[in-house]
Amino acid sequence: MVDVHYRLRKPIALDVQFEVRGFTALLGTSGAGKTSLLKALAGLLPAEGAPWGALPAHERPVGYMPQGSALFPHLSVLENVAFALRGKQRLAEARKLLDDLGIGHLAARNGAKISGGEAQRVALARALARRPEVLLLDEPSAALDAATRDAVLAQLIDSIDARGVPALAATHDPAIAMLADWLVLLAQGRIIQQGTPRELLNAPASVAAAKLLGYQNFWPADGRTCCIRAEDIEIGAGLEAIVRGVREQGTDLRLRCFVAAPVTVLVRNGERSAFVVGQKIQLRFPKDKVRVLAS
Amino acid sequence: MRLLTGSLLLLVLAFLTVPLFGLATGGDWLHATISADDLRAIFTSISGGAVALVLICLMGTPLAFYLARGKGRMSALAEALVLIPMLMPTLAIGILLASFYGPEAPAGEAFARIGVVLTNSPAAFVLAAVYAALPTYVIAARAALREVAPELEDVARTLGESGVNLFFRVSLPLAQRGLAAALALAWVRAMGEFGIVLIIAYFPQGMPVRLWVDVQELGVPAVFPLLAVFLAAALPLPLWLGLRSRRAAL
Repeated sequence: MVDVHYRLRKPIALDVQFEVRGFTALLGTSGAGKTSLLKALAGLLPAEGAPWGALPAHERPVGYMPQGSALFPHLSVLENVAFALRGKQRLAEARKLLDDLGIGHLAARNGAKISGGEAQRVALARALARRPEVLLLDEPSAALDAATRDAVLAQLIDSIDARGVPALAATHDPAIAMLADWLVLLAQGRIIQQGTPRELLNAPASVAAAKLLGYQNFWPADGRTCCIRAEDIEIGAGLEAIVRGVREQGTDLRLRCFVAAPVTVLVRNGERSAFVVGQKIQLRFPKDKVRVLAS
Repeated sequence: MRLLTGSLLLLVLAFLTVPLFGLATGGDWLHATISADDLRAIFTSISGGAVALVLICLMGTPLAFYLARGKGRMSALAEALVLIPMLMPTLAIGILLASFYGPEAPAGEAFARIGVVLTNSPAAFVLAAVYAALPTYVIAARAALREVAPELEDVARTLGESGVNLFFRVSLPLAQRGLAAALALAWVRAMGEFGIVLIIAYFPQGMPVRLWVDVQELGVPAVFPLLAVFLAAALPLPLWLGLRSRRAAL
């Protein structure tokens, strides 16, 4: 586990304190400062804090994987991984790292001519070569094809877990955040909540936290705010609603409804023909799925 | 439309290149000679140009790197200062250099005390070439270094590299095509410099001054052999660098 306490002024003001436990996802909207925070931890942006605040970038014991992997295009895969290594055995050590990650066959290839998923694994090997105390991953799914994204991410997380190196992954995608061991929510320049994904989903601390976690439906009640996720609303005996819009989302249906206020409903494996705009339906809001937010 | 565009392009290319073919037809090749003074001029231009190129590379590359990465008022000011000599008429620069490095100027006197004379000497020739070509190199090299993604340099820092090592392991290899082009431009500029050389380095005569003298004494047709040598000396380096960088791109 790594305790992080950092303050930045530029390019965005941040004052954050959180823990990195296992594979930790740093979840925040675009522009919240996730990349800036990672860069500050890597020593690439001026910041104050601990750990490593006084060290220049080249002396910090971190492994940094930016968006798109950033492999050196003038080097082969093997030379990329060996970049941080010294001594006569550097290429042999790099080769072993590639073999351990199942990509030894890429050693002679050019770093710029492999797929996004392969490049990400090479970047991981390169970052691990320095034996870092923590890995910093910026939007690890950004450069991956949608078709293989989940599988590649799962492999990446398994590889990192196998080495026991704590990792902090910045992402704006709640689906990726749910794969993490620990989840940290960043908004308005500070950490608004942290915990396991299950803990946060079951008890978001605020509207901002709930929105980051994918909650889409909010309404006031007795001076507080209630919320429920679109997929937790059920079609059945309950409040009357009018269908205002229907959109297919893969095999699911996303309904825009109105029940005193706009409501979004996700119908798993829904039939398109079952719903039309203007139709009156009944919606159930299971009490165990409704969250009452403190603020 | 395509035919019209193609024809226009051919016209422009012809406008640029047809006079060059006059090299083969315009000279008095049957009575062509290269005098001893011409040979000394060739040696002066090539040797002086080579020394100038090394100095330009050593001085210009760090400055170009600073301009490529700098983001404040200081780097904007530095860029303006580099552009000023580039935009000035070369005769004007020559006159100003004469008044600064001349035998009766403070800088010229200071250098003379340590045995370095900066007017009408080999050192003056190198000085003229450096002043002529350094701004061109810096601007072109800056553009080449800007093409290197800063993200790659950031990653290199997180992998333990910094300073000069980082430049040689990441920035330089990735910018080599552009830097080669910048060097080629600087070479051609240095070899062809006339205005500054006319004022502060008339002697020893390089090829441009020698061509000028021969044109006045012997007439235009008689200088074509030296002109051919001049082109043969000036063009190979930029052509070789250009071919190398093309092969690297493929």
